[in-house]
Amino acid sequence: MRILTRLIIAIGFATLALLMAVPAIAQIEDQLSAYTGANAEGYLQPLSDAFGANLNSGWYHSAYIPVDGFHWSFELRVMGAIFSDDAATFSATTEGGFSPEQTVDAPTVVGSGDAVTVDGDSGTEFTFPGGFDLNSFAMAVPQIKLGSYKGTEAVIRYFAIDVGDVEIGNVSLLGLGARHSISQYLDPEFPVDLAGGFMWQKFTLGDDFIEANAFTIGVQASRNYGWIEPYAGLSYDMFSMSVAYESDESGEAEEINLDAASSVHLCLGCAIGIAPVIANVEYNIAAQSSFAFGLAVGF
Amino acid sequence: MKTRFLVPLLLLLVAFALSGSNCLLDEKVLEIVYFQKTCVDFEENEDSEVFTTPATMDYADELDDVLSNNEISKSDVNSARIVSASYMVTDFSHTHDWDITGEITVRRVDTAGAAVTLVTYTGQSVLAALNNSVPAILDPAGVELLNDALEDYITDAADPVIEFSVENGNVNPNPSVTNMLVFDWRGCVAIHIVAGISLEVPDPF
Repeated sequence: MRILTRLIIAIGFATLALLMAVPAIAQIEDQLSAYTGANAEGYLQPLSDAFGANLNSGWYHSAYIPVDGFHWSFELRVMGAIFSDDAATFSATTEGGFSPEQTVDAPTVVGSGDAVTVDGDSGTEFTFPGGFDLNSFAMAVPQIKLGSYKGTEAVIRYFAIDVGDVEIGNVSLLGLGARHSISQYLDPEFPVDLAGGFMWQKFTLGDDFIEANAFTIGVQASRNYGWIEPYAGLSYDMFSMSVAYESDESGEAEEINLDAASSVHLCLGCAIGIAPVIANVEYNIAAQSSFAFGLAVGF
Repeated sequence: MKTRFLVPLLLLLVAFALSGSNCLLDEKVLEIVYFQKTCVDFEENEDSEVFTTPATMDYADELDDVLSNNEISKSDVNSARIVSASYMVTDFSHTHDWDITGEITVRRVDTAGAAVTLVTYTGQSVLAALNNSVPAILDPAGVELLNDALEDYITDAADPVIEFSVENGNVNPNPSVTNMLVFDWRGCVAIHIVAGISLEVPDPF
């Protein structure tokens, strides 16, 4: 019963975190509508980078996987990326028939909330919209681990909810992964536990507003000192995101495919606790660095 | 040992979740830009190269609709300015092309103001503009009049009504009763409406 209560609290927290992001995401669609093509991509790119970094983080906290026996773990993961100053602006070019064409540094989605206006011919003006003035982008997701069969466990992330917003609709995240114990093939005296695995995730918002796909594959190592377990991981991450919206200028649907990002990713973390409750914190060094912390309840 | 870790962790998470509005959400003020095109249609059926075709637009009504559709109020609007203008022939079915030269003027009807030039067009092929949006050469006087009208709307100083008028001066070849110049065209003015909104967004770190 106590575990059930903990699960409900954790699910509630994840729901809350996702729902709080929805009004902001809806506003992004309005901001984007002033842009087409390259401007829209430049405006959104930092958020896409952070989203990819977050999704490909926090999906393990130990390299130890039992060889056999039924094991489960319900986990809540909070991942966050801190934006650098470079992410605040992008090189934006006037559009909409504005003359003369000009290119300036304009706020990205995470940049200053102040719009940037440039003067044109005959008293005309062109204004680039402001950003959300964000220091960080964080998200919380629930995940379940189930194992073990011959040193293999499954990792499942799932979240789906209708936020009741007619403009946004449904939010869903599905992640499927597997990890396999390498340690079972090594000398039992080998100083660390080793595992390898992959995870694929798909995030959708609305019928076709945002669709993101993330994939990571890599190896992990950890060593258990009783109630504390340092861990590290090296992986190769891939992430792509597409956004569909209606342009104010053309009145037509626009679809942008943000640059697919691939990067090598080093994770350094530490888990603290004793089963059934383990907390962890980690820092992820990649093209967009991020951090994660979480809580796992299971046996 | 287990309880020592478990209790603070759960308390931390619950407190984090329950105090979400203070801890996770941060109020941000951002300027949003709405791109709006307002268009007027002109129908030409002329037997002379010199003709005038007026069309009136209730700018206040147009802008009211923009704000309403985007669920913002007039008090949220920081500025509204002309970005560009264009024109396009929407219907033309002659056996030969025409080149037209003239201007489109604007006049404040609500203040009974004088007409000033907004757009000039010189040797414009009607056929070349068929279903093709042509960037217009703008005149500062017309842009200033429209920018002032937008300012009056934002500040509630007036509900601007604008008369757009085609003042054509030359056509090649010259139209006549037996060779009428017949086409429909549309002139559009693009506006950026900049509004400031306040929004609570997750920015926990």
